[in-house]
Amino acid sequence: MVDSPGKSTCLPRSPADNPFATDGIDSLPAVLIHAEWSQLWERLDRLGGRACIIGPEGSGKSTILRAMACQAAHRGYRVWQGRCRCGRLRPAWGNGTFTANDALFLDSVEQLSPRMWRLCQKWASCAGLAVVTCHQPCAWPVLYRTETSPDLLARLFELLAEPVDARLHAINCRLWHKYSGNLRLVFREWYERWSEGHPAARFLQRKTAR
Amino acid sequence: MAAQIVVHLENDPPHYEPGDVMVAQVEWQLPAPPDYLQVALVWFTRGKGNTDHRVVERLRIDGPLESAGSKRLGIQLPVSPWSFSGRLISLLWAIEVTAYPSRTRTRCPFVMAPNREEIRLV
Repeated sequence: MVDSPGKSTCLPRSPADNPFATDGIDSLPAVLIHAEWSQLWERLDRLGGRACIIGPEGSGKSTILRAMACQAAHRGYRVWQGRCRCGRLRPAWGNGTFTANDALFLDSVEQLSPRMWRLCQKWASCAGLAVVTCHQPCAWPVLYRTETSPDLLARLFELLAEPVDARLHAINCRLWHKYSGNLRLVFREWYERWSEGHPAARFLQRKTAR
Repeated sequence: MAAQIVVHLENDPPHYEPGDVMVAQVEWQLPAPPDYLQVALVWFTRGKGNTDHRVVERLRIDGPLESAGSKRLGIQLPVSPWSFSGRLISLLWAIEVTAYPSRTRTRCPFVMAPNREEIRLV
């Protein structure tokens, strides 16, 4: 059914105004807990430039990987980013002729087929840097273990929505436990709550200055 | 001085019929004269899941430019896609203006749909 905006109070709220829409979640900053970025890069050097970031779902592995890719570009590397899905790498990296000036960043390598993973390891041996993410330790040394906390959730929540009060922090704390620290699922629930006009979410607005 | 780019659309509210000619006034106040400003007519989706972003047209405001100035533009809108909001996503139209080389940027959203009203899919 097609209707016009602003003419019925029964209309669902617009996804465009939802503080927990994907564009907002994707723009959240990468936050390291118990570490500094400089320490991460020093550790990567010590590990020979090949390492993995591990952690449970929704704990920020991909966000930290993207941040590292951006920092690698500023360090002068030619950056290659890929996501592994259903055994394959997207986007494809062609014939994979890499040099020491290339930095490879691969997300979710546990989804690669054994053959593709061997190929990626071969590529990584030619590249200057190679960092991957996975849920469990893989063949590469661990660079960083992602984790979340109610405090981190509170910080990120305040970047997405306003106004935030103590009651919302208490709800966030409960949601953090409900989803075992998976922030993606927490924000997905907030998306639904806001969309449905849940009392706790009804007055939240997208933060304008992100 | 804070860098600022502002886009004023002639229609108030900024709602247009598909195929309309949009008149926009771009005003900028920057710490240094820009080399040029790029004006992009875009649509994008926002909501749950993956997002889409398409640049429909690009225009350039070329130099020599002062650090502060303004330019009036006429932009032919396409006939689709229409602005809409469903349960999962909204499709939004906007004018995006970026100053180079500073990359100071602003986005001015508007509605483009028949009867100048966003379509609501309930």
